[in-house]
Amino acid sequence: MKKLGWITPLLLLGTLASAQVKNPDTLVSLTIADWSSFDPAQCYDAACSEILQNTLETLYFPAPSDLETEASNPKIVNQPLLAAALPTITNGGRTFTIKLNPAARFSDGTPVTAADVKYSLMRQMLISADAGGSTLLLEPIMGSAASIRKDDTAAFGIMDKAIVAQNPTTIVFNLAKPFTPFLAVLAHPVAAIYSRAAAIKAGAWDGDKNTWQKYSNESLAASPYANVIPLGTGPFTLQRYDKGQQVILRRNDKYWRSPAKLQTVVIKRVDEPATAVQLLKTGDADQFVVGSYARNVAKQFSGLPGVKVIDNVATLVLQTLFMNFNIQDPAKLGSGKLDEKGIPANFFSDLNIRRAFAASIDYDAFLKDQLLGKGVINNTAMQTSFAGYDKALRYHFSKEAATVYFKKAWGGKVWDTGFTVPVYFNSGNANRQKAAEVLKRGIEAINPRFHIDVREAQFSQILADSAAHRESVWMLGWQADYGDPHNFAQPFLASTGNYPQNTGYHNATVDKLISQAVGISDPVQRTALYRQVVRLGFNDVAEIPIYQGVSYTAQRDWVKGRVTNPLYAGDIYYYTSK
Amino acid sequence: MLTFIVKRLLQLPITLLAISMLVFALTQALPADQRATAYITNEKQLNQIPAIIQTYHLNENVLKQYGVWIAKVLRGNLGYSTSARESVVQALAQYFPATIELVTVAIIPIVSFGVLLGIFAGVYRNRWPDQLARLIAIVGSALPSFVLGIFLLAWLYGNLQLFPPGRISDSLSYSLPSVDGFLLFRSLGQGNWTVVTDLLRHMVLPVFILTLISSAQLVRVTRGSMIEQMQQDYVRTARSKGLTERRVITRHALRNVLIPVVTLIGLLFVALLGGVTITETVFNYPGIGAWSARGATLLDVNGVIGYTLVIASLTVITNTVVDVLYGVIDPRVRFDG
Repeated sequence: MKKLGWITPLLLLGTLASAQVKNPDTLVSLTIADWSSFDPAQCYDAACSEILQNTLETLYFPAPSDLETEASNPKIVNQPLLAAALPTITNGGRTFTIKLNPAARFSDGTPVTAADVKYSLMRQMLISADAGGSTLLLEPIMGSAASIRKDDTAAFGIMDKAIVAQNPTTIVFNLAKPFTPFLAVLAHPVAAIYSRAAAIKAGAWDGDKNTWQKYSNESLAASPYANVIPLGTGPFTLQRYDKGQQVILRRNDKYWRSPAKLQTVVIKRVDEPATAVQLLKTGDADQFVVGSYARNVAKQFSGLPGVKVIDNVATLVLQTLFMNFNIQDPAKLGSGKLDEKGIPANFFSDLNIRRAFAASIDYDAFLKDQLLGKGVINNTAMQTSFAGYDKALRYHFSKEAATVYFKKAWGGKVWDTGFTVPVYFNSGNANRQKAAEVLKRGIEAINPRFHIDVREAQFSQILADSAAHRESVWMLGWQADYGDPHNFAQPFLASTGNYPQNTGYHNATVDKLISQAVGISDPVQRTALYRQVVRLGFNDVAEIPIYQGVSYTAQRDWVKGRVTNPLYAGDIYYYTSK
Repeated sequence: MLTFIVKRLLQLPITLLAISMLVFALTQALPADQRATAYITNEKQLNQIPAIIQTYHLNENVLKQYGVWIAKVLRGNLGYSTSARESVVQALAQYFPATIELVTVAIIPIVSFGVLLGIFAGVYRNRWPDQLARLIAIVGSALPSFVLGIFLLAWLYGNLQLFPPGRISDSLSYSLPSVDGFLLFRSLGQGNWTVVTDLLRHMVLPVFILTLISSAQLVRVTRGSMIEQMQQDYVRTARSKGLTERRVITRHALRNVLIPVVTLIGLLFVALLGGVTITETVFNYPGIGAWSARGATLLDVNGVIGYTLVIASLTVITNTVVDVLYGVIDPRVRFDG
């Protein structure tokens, strides 16, 4: 009894000690990603964007969502940040006049001016770095998403007229064409604003029309911001960067809004999930960036004392099966003709084949068996929470329907000749592999002469082959750049879009509707147009979208106020505390 | 003696050239498109792959490609590493020092443990201490380092909060200008014992794993050498003079026993530089091993080639140096050579 008297307080003390918040002012967040560059002109991936969105700010920014309560239906609303209010849109949707927030200050205390905004955005577009996301700005401002190259002598002048610093607190954008999602583009980290004077002092472009060519498509390492952040306005500044290992953010005590709650944020790279588990368990790490570790390791994080796993975190990633209408690689064609050993190059140009493929996938079984129910089946080229999405548009797994389509295909020849089609997934992506296998199972059960050859390839190889029109059938995922239906309609269905350029899909009506929809401001009309676009793409089976994944994350109990939004790259640490 | 050294040194560039050809030949298993991806930095550049193939002659015959590549390598340009997002040379310079420090610390217990256990086994040949030593060596080398590493991490760090992963504690790292490059050696030179202690604390688990795995070979070689020496005439003579067994071993046999052992230690050091991949990955130690593992996963062709080339070159150079030194230590080698 006496021994027990000793042990009980010790156990209690132990429990209290374990519940004690470790380093209350510092948050350690784990990730598997690396940071490419802190230059907004070069950064176009989630890891570097996460750092930018915490240190540099944009005119507008997506409103935060609560990680748990709004996980499946996040708010995608852009609200003013460095802008004082929503823009005044005139000239038939071509002119956006934006007043800057007069309180906004860079972390050295200097005010943010229209000249800084103009410089930041012009530098982004003039550099047009291959690694960067300048196309997002170029499409509305220059009228074409094509990168600017140094021999384009007119580019500077057009840009200079398109972005006008009317006075120190007013910036005017004269767009090349009406572009309703422009505000959403301005909310993306590619439109981050930083100090013109500080950038020039740091060795970046001097703002002169005669010198920009020198910086055109400069390499990642050549930028003065390869490893340091430009002088911005964000709630944090970069304290140090240990290349490839960790980024340490320090609270900006001169932040123009109320300062962040955390003093320090450490974003640490840990590739091995088993190590991450132990770091969370001991409290040496507080959380990991959403989506860092594959779903099949989620179980390792659940059940850890003091650690909370948050599941069903929404993503804006659409996983899709693409079919090339004119395959320009004999190695993918087998016999190269309609027989059991191969396919002709234009095999997928027949709508019946595409419809038959769409009807051969057991979507529900895939969701249940492979995704363990954690995902949303979506067969349209539109994200579920965007205008134009129509949940009634579903391809249904049906052997009978697929049989009918196959019997019609190629004038009825395919049913007798059979075929062999290679379907590619990138190495290591178990979900895409499984989807390809589900397709194989469905098709091969219809007719013994039908064969699907599931093949594995490196991600870069699939990208290279599809870009060169040499891929046959392949799976990829598309993540939204900004919160607008145009960001799905254009890349998936416009003939100038990313994927139709690879598959050869072309529908003049769809092109016209997309071009029309992007300039319409009335939300009802826009929604109606995108619905049409999506329906046409669905009926044409331009590609076979399969599902949108949901993600998960884990954090210590003591982490409070964590917010996210599927449009954010990683976390916004401004609201978080311990 | 001079002839022997000259011969060995002349062989060195030829061997290095052969290695470079072998390493380059391995890349020929990849199609030109894929080899070209080693030169790109993002997806958008995929549209420029034909231009990249032309620029780097990736579609021409192997000899032409090798010529372009080796000329680049000889100028110190190992290309761009897509996983490190910097040149391979910069990546090597960034990650190598951490591994060199880890291996330098690890070699001490590896040698101590391996040699002592080997001597012990050799002296007590075929008796239970020998069986035990060999069992320890076999089990140590047979255990999967990944599994053992995670187990130790979960137990010693996860449960007991000892020996954390990584290279240095966050709080300490903030006070340093950089955690890249040589940190232990620098801190030792500066007498910064707080940092030294912290660095060593982070090295305990990886060093333990490396010791368990890498000392087995030393045990075998030392044991064999010990058995061989103990049967030599000079040992019998020493015994017949009435010297104690301890004195016979320490004063007479040990020097000769250690000749092959010293040779092995040099090679072991280089082998460890290239063999810390799994250990560094499990313990989140930011060295060349973890980087190469990541590079292989991400198909960082230049990174993997650069890493392989450097490790292979180091092995060959070390081998040559060891051979030369061996020749100096053991005159019999000179006559054989």
